[in-house]
Amino acid sequence: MLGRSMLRDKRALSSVIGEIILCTCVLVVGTAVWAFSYGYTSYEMTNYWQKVSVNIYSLKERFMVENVAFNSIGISSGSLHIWVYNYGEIDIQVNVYILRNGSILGQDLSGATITRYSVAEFTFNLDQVSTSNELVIKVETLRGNVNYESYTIP
Amino acid sequence: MSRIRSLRRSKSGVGSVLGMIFLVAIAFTTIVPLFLYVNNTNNLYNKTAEEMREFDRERSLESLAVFMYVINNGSALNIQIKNKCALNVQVVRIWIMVNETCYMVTGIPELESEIEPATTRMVACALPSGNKVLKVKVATSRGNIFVAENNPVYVTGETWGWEPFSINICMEADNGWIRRTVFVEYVGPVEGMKWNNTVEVTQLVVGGYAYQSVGVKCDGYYKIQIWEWVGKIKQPKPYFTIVVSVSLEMPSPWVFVPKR
Repeated sequence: MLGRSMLRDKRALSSVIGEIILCTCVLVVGTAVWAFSYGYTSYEMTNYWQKVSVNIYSLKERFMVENVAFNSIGISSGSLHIWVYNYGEIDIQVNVYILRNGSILGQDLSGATITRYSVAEFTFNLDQVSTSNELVIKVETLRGNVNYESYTIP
Repeated sequence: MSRIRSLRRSKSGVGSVLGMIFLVAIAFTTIVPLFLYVNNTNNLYNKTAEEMREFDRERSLESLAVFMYVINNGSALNIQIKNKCALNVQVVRIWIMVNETCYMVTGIPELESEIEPATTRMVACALPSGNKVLKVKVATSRGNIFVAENNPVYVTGETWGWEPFSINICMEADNGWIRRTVFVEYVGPVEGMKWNNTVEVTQLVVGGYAYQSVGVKCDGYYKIQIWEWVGKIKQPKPYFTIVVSVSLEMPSPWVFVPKR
């Protein structure tokens, strides 16, 4: 009897429907906002980690020019041997440049990989060099770290 | 009671409650993890930076004293490496430059383990024959290079004997034939060790000086006594006596002996 009278009673029905619509809107909009927020923060996390990990790997790089030797072939030519030692914990990839008075005499842009705790040899055939020429050896990693060494041709 | 019942009956505000629940859920499932993640990442970066700072500090503290001396008539080289710092040091490679040829020496049994502070390791290497200029340097695992303190060493067949150390005696004398007796005796610091050598010197002096090199077994202090001969008679007392220090820093000291 009470239910039938309630069904017949149409007063306050609009407020209930309004409330249901409002709840539905809240659920839909809330879910959308939550999904967007979740996706955006996941993206930001990944992005941030990529940036920081680049910096971390860059911090971990340790390398140096361990030895340089020059073998004369002719009066003004010879081969320059460079040993680069990676004493850091991670593998590195390097480009090597040979400079004299700022101009490039030779370069190795292969991005050769030097595994951690190992030494790699680079050989350059140089022309138009003579005794007492001062060469600057620039070793640059693909992560942007640079190491310089100078060498005077004996 | 009636107030609570009216609250229960009231259906208005359900949307606000749901909205608040979503807000809290978003905060706890996205924003808070994001902050925690960024914080952890920053901590990892700071930790790495601190580790590398410590690594660089240890690298700057590394200190080795490297000496070399030629043995076996110039056919071999002894390299002495002394750890002067408070850290263990691992030598990974030794570079020996003979004239302009580089030799990279690795996998040395004597250097497989780390060198402890205030200890010394000795490494022997073979050398090519002939006159040569030697340079030695060692590389450590922390990326330091230490060159030998006595770089470069010039090796000629005449200047080096079979002994690792020598005393070079330069005697001032009048031109003409001279005869001297040189007696070299080990006097310390190792007690009980006895070693001596007598060298007879007969030379034709042209430029005012006679020269004699005497090889000695090890570093330490040596007493040198020199007797002069007059005709065929050796003088009863030495005319020159001195104590000389032979060390790794100075493996071949020179002694100047003035005229009597």
